[in-house]
Amino acid sequence: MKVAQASNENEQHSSHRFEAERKITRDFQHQLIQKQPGIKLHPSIYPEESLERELKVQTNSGLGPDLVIADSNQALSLLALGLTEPIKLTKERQNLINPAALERVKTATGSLAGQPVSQFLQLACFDKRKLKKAPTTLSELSADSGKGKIFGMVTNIQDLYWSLGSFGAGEALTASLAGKKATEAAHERLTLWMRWLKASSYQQNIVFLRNQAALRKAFIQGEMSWISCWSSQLPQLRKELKDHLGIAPLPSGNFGRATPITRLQVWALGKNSSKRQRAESLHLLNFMVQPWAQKTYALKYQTGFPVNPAAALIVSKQLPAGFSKFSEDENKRVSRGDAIVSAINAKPRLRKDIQSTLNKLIFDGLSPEKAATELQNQMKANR
Amino acid sequence: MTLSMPYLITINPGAILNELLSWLSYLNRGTVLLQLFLVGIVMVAEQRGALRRRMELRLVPEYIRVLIGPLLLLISSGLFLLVGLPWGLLRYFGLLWLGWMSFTPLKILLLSINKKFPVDELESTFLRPVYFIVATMSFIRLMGSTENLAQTPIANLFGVELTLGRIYLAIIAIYVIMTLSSRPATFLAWLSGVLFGVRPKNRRGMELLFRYSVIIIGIIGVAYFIGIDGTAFIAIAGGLSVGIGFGIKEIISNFISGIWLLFEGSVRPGEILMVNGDPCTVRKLGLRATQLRRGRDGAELLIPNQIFFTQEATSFTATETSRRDSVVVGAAYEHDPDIIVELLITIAKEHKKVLEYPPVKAFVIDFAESSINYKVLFWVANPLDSFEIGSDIRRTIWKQFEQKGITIPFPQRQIYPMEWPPSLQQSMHSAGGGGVVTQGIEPELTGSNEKANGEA
Repeated sequence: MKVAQASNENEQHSSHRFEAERKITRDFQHQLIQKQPGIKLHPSIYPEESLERELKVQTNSGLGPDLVIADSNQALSLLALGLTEPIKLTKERQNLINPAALERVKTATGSLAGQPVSQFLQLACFDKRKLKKAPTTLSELSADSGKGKIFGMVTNIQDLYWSLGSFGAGEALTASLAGKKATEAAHERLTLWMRWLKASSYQQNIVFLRNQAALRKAFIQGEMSWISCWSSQLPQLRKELKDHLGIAPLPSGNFGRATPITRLQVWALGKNSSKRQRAESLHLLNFMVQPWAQKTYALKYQTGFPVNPAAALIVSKQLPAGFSKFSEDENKRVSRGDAIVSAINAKPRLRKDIQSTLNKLIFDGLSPEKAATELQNQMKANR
Repeated sequence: MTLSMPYLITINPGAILNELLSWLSYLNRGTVLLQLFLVGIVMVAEQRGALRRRMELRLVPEYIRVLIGPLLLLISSGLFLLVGLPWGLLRYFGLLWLGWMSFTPLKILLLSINKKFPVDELESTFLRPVYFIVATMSFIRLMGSTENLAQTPIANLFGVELTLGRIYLAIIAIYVIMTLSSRPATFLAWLSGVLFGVRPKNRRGMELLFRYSVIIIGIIGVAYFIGIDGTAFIAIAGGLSVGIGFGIKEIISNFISGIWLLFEGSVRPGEILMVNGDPCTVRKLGLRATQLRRGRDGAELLIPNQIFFTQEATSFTATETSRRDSVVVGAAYEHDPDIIVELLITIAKEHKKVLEYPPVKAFVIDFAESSINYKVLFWVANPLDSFEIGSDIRRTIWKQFEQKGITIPFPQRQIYPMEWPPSLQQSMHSAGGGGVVTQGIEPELTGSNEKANGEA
């Protein structure tokens, strides 16, 4: 069975691209053969940005994959492009998956673009040799940075969104996306967040890099004490830092707790499968959401949180800190952020505009007040 | 010295086989089989000439008619698209086929624009390799295996893990370096000519040396790119030294001979050498062999470099290019040798391509059976011209001799049935020796003829 997998790594072009993911995939293949001897997987990993293009070429030729593994946004756009088939899940099977996750793969017509299998979270990764304890609040973070600890973040909205929660600034963005004017208080909170960003950019020990791959590289090389990271990247960090890698929830602010973004791993059905291949795919999909598989793979790879609520309950106690705090309630709490980030990611133009505003705020002289207004206008205009 | 484990070469084709086998799973799909079936049918029909015979269009040239097969595939891919079936495979094979078939029309088009365009060279060094790369890459991409195959480690060379992608890129890079290295080398040689006044002939040699340098630097660069570092180079050099001793002695010997000859300057491109008595121009001094063009018939000779290195070679251009050639002619005994010698010198001198200095000389070389033989010696600037000049001089000699009534005698043999005892008449016949007969006249009884001439 051919499987196309979008990379989560945001890797640069290099000879070792996808190495960590390939290793997990290979390991997963071996594991699966033991449990499901009839199913032979042949996964290919693609960079996220070229997945659609490659699938188009293959599917047009009848050589498309049987299964596509992508995040929820990409699964929806693949379905819209006619590169995957909608999936029909029985009530029973739907009950195995948490409703918030299912909601994220639902199209406007109510069909499902794929089946959620796992959920990646945004976390704080720190080097235990340099930082005894990860900061739990933004003020602690600021204090630690004053003591010479170096903190690294990425300058895109998806990776910075967690800090919006600490200021309660998400509300203004939701309003803007809906085309409404944000309340005075919400606008003020967004401006406060912008001020924090600006102030952080002035600090010598808070470093903003352009992408996650660069941040991870700097962290591995020991240039940073703390970075915001994704659970999907933990294997690579663990391999390099071994026991020195610390994982913690992202720090909260005065207004509220951090709102980390989550990313779903969605398995979708390819368009060209033969009857036998389709039956095998469905069989595998069913296997993957059962509590046993959910629990086993979540604990084994420790990269994602199970989408099966029953498995999540069992697993959360055994996962490292940061992970373990994640729960269904937490999932509901952060779902607004997921929706906002999905909406932004679905519109490349909007994403580019927001990126430019954030760059101007962090690296150039744009004032927080102007940036807050500009950001809301962009979201209203491009929704 | 013992080689530790990482210095061993290990090859592991398992992963690739696995990937290739996974392609078989596509044969489970009806739409794939349908497309392949259609491609097969069109190809078989084309092979048997069915498509071309049906067309009965004698006016349409062959190179247009061969496009019918690929076009059929492209049209059917369009139909598949309209019906909503997967069509990409049909288009892929159609385009692939069309690409292959369009080489001939493209060549004809280029030749019609410029007759001197090196189309064959373009085809073999550029078009076909590019076609091959594009065809394989797009096929692997179609199969969804680009990343997988590229990242598959297939061999471990001296501790360096080589992935298929890197090997593929390295092969392409080496090919490109080999074929394109002449350009920067020509430029450098030209530059050295402009800056340091190097003579054009020496520039050809320098160009080759530069080219080898570019190739060596390129290959080292490629090796570093695939991860073979200094340590591995030492290990490879160790391995090569054994290899040179046994298997590749000849190759290395030819290579080193080539470089030596270049430095020595005796066999440089443009030189003229005698090979088995024929003047040949050196066209190219290659890594293994020297390419020569034989003046007589234009044949290309490939002679291993070490032949020139170890055996004698006659060069007309080693220090200076002029060559001395000669024409031998016989004139009847009754003519004054002084007049003939003077005439021969004049004839040779008058030829445009015969050098004034060293001067033309003519000698009486033999009192032969039926003629006095003369030899005229002259110098020519370009050895390759000497054959033609010799012919010119011979023609002029004939014309001048004809004008001045000088005869070129030649021995004649007449055969008569023997009578025994011989009659008086027959004895007289047999006594006749070489007659002096002008060309085109049936020889008569030589004895009387000679007499007649002598009287005249």
